[in-house]
Amino acid sequence: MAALLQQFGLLDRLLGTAELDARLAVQFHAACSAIQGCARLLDRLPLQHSDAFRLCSALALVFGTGTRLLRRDSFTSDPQPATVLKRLDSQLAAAAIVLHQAANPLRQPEAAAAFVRTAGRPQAALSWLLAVSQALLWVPVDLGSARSEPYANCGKDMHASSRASPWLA
Amino acid sequence: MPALPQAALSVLLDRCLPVLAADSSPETIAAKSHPHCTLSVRLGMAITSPCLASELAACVQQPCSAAHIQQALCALTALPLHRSAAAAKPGCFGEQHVGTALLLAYLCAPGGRICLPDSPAPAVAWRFVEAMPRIAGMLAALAGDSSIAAGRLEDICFMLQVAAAALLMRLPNFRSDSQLAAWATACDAVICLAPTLLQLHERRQPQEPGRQKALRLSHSLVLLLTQASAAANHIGKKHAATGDTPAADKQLVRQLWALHTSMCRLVAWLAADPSGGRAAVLPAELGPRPVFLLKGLSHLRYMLLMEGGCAVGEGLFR
Repeated sequence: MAALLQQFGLLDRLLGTAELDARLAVQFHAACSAIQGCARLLDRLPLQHSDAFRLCSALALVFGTGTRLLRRDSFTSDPQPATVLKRLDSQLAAAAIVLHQAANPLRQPEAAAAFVRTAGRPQAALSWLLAVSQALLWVPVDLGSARSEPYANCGKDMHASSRASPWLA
Repeated sequence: MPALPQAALSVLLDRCLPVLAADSSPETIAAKSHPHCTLSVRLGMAITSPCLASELAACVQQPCSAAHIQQALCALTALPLHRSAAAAKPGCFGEQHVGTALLLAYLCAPGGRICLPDSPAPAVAWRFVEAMPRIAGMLAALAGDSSIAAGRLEDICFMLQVAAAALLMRLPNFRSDSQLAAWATACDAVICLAPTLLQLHERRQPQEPGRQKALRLSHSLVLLLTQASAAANHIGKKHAATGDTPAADKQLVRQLWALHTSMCRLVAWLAADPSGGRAAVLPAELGPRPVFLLKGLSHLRYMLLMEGGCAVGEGLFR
């Protein structure tokens, strides 16, 4: 696992300066899936501090190359919304689980502190989140299949939950 | 990065809300033709990560626009929670709605800087506070449903904790009795989540009881006791000055006592656990023992019983 996690750093250095062609983009999305897989696997195992730290480091790849890819997709080329969404999903899935797990001070105080201290890391995360939001905004809403009755199902079963004491279970 | 909160709000308000407004059935929300709602849950997970909180708060320069807040309010009042949908179609519930509303709450209230032109400043934040017991109740009701992955409920629990910490801790002084009542009810609901958090965690990791627990009650618990004491003190002083206890105050006192009771139950629940595993739902900063809770509780009890004379205590029994 440690060896695999270190590969993300190598890939980050490789992609950091390269012109992002389709071949490298495929590599990047494969890496995102791998990061997500590692995070899910480590979620099931007792997470070591060193692994949490390596997972956080792997986010540099998503934030750096991911932001570049999203900006390129949104502004220079003309991809289908479905393509953009698939790419978005792969990045979001990887980063959301790592931010929630390895970079979460409630779970991994040391790794989270290292994440925040690393120069530019939170800033890179915000830049990436901005790129993700903008890409999401770029995809139009299709309300064609939706019914027109607003909030048809609201609040139907809201009050069903009684105030039974949760402490007795 | 001042554009980020605006862009994220825009995703929620211009992309997710129209879909939710048009049709809030679980099938439509999960449909591939408008994936914003599903993606926004993950976006919410990433944005609300505590390691980004200070950076994000720093980049919020201006309060949200009134139009945004109005839309957020509409979304909130119509927040549908699909317990029946979960029964009809296993694995489905309104997590996208809840996630969207909680992310809105988080984004609308960094530092409590919310303003509407024609109403008291934190009005919207209070609406979010009022929605919290509903969300907490839904989570508690769904926690035993094995058709819903524990991880998805944990995500919502996590976001509720984050939003509750942001809202309950940062709201300015109470402006009215109804606000204090809403606040006390929300605090009560968040405290009552403790067994749910443990249940979710045990559902996910039954084989590793000693593992560090990922889900804890927010440390706003401590602040909450202090504020409840201050509120009791305030009522007591008002009563001492005027000599009578209006009906609204009695209601408030009742709610503060209910909060007090929930706290007592939390302590009893923690103490009745021989293995000590339940203490894991307490915030790490506060240590493994519920001593701080007892201290805070005795202070609140003192304020409720003594400070305002007997009338505050009487409110409970009438």
